[in-house]
Amino acid sequence: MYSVFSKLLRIDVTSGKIVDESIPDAAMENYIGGRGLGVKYICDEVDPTIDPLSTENKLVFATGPMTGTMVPTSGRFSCATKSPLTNTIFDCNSGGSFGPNFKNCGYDGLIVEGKSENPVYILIIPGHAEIQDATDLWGKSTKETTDLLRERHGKTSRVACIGQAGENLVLYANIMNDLYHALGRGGLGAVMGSKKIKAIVVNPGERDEHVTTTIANPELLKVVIEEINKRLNASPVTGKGLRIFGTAQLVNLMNAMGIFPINNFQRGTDPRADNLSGEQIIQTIFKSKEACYMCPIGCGRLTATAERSGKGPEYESDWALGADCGIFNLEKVTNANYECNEIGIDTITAGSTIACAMELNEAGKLPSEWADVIFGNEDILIDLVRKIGFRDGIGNDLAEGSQRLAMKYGAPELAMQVKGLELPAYDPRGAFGMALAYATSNRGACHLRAYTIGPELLGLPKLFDRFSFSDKADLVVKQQNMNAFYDSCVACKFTGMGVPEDYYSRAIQAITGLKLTVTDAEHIGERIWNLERLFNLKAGFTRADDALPPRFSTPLEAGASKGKVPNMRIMLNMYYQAREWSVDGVPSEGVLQKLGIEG
Amino acid sequence: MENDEDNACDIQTSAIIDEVYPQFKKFGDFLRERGFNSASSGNISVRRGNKMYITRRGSMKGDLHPGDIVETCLDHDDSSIVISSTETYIHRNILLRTPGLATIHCHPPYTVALSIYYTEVLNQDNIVPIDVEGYYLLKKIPIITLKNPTGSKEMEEAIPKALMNFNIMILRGHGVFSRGPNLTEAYNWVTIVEEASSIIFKCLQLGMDIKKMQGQFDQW
Repeated sequence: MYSVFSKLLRIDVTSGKIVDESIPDAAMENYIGGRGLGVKYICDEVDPTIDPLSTENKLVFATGPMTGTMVPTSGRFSCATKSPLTNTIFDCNSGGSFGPNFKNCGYDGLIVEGKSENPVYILIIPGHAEIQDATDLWGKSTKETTDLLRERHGKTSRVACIGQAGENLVLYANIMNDLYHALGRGGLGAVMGSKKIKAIVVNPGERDEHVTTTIANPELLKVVIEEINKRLNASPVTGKGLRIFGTAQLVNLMNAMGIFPINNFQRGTDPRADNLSGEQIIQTIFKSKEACYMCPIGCGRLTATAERSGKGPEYESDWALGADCGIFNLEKVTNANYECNEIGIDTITAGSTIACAMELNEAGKLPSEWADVIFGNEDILIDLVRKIGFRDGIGNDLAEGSQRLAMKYGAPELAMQVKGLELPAYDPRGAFGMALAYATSNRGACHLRAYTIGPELLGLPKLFDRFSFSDKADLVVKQQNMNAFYDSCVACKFTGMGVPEDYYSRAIQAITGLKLTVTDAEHIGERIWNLERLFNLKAGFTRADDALPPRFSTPLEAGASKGKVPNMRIMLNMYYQAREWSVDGVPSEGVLQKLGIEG
Repeated sequence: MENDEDNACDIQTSAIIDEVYPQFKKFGDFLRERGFNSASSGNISVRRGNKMYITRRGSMKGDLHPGDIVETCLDHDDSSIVISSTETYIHRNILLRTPGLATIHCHPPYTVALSIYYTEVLNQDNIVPIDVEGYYLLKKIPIITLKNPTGSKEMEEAIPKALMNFNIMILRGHGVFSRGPNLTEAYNWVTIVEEASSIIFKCLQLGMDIKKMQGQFDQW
């Protein structure tokens, strides 16, 4: 297979042992790279029943055959583990330029295992890796750590690190790379912190020192790239909306559709939403655009408030730290977002857990030290974020995520989560496909496994009725499978807003030499999805976990989505049928055989 | 299992037909209006879980009624195949083996005419659009030539195979099969191909050299 080294680094931080390993051809061809490869190694090597913060857990970083090529949005890499927040298998991918630079050191993947006694960081250069002391870095923010390490190892180095939240085992701590890019959501930073690993530094040196791969069919790749760029430029989402407004382009749209969650999903619209919109960001805090490696879209926004500067907020962060907490002050939300990035915590879970606490307080469930934690109290926001990162006072409860918080205080129904992961910024009562996507996602409620907002609200590629039930199971299955493929290439899923699915399978064919149709690509995704499902079943998850919080059985009272609730039982049954799973959600022997997976 | 209610039997066929019928009706009407079918030719299907909903054999696509939509299993035969479309097995294989969740088969005249011209005169097994939209969206459309191009076993294999990497294909001298995530997209492909074909046809009438105008998509 072209465009890969078929080689990974395995580093045991308990013993200090570092070895190069070959990746079998079958693993590369059946799982491609990125998420697929990470999931394959986690399933092969990690017992699904372990404590995710124990020595036995592993982190599998992986690039894909597309990483570092000229294909648009190919600057991504992936990390897989067992999540301390959800207890599911968990992968995340991130942009920036860490991924291509890691690959230019001559490896497709890195497996980190064991647990160090003292803080360390990992340095990787072409053909060589070493473990170095990080005592002086422990306790520092992601920004301080990145700046110090880049000063130490040169400007050609790139850094992925944890902040104080990872050190303090906040269950939704991130690994931050290139300062502002996050391997987020499921607490990968806590797993890294549990191993006492502060950072991973890659330094491929100057361009002529890079270790490179070969493309199988440069002529075809040139044609495919030209066509991908044409599509990205022509799409109103990737060619206009994201380029002009960033991801916060969605605020006013989702608010108008009545699915912009307010006050912990108690409402779906608010007249103040525009204060947080992409239009407002442009007019107030915007400084410049920021793009990942080889990305013509450039959805990132470098911004500055009166007090500080940084990146964001993205749509989800803007909502979670803002509207979901009843806060519509863009400056306050932006400062809290900066703080999350520097401490290294996931903005969606941080905001949603604070919103959950606000509703618990409203319901009289919390003791007096939580008195200020009320919807709309913008002055406590940044302080709460710090408290979470340092597990300080009430921050210690918030650091556990909304599910554990709500259970501790006797109202589990007030946690807006699936499998322990907080819902992102789309109320599922206004997009029935999203309802099913949240419920069935292998890593908990997530908009990145299947994003039916595309067909249900944005009309991409063609509009679906957002309140119909019968066509959603198959749609969600197809999207979950294709997204697993994109995550394995590794490509940014925003391309799906402009580029037809087969363009990326053609690109992989040109890059790797594999004879791959779009149908084959979908089968690879299906294989990854079923493997993840088997891991979760072994970890103890059942059909009962494929469920939304009870709030979503009651219709919204106002806005463009009022009066509707998805029939989850019927949609879930149809979903299991579409996946060839039993009524309990267990993959059939037939489907496992078809995909070449041992049950 | 949570309880007895949580089994597959509670998915009501009638509830699904209530949702899909308006779409079948709409696109059946469109096919008639555009002259893409004779009175009862062509067929329409969608996937729903492990079931397929497909037009009844002999139904008038321009005058569909709820009773013209037949539910049949995707993974095994049931008695409904007796009344469902003659091309049920092709639709089933498309819905099982390709990314498509909806399929339309019809006989757009310019496209059918060109499929004969390209294979007989130009010795080319695909049409490469020369208009801007056709070129941008399609690149090329494969033409499959079969010994038995109506209701045959070889169609059940060859057509889904062609749709594994393309959204629409042409069966030489017969018609097109298209796929999409929904019927809107499947129908959209039919209209784009027919428009591209009509433009090629008119350029041929004007005496233009079509081959010289084609983009280079040999490897696409």
